[in-house]
Amino acid sequence: MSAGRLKTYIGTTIFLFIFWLLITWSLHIQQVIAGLVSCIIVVIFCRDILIFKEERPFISLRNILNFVVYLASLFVEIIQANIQVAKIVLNPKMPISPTLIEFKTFLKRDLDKVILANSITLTPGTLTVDLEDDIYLVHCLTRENASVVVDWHMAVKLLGIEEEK
Amino acid sequence: MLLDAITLFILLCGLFFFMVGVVGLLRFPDVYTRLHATTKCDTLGLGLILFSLILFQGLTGPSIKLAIIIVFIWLSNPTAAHAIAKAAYSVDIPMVKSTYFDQSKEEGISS
Repeated sequence: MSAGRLKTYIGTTIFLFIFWLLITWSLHIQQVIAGLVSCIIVVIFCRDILIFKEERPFISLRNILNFVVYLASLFVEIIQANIQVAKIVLNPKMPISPTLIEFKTFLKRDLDKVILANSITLTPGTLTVDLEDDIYLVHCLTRENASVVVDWHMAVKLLGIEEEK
Repeated sequence: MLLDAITLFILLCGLFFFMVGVVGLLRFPDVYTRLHATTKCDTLGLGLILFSLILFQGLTGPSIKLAIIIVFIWLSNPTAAHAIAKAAYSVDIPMVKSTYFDQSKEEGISS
């Protein structure tokens, strides 16, 4: 067992323990001990499928900050696009022009590809249908959505997080 | 008093987005466009409703649980939408006739 793996085990245990504290919302000694024991058991049980160093973005203060900025701008995108879809739905003429578009991504890490796919799906008007290797198949509600999603500014932000070392 | 008004306003916004989701489900022509309406408006609709409940509760244990529920809904919602869309696509459920298929495999920037 190398030091990097040990770090992942301890980090995951701490993360799970914080989650436990949040949902039990009590600092009674019985709760704390039961939580610690079950967190350690979960980590031992899942020791092969944890997210190790090779698969995750480099954890630094700067990267965490970047990720928070990413989430904030994703939230703004979601609200804007939701209002846009609401307008389309409530418009009596229903101006939709469904488009299926394929495009290639430049992201390397699987985790980032999944984050991008989920961001695309979360943003109303675009829906990831398929992702194979590095080709996304995206269904869009209107033609304009399709032209935006090909080089989305969120993907550039994600690339910035990926390249941070 | 003001907080109650804000809570009520956010709650009504959430209900509005749920209503949009249902109207979209009934109006749109095929599986994929219906998925757009339901799964998307639900994210913001449910998010706003739970957020108004958090405001109503204040900072207590239950409100933290509500916040965690929002996070998990926002994580699982796109996954479910993706699963339905992929299943529909792989068994060739027909799309509405006007669907335009852009297969040019456009390259993203800096690829």
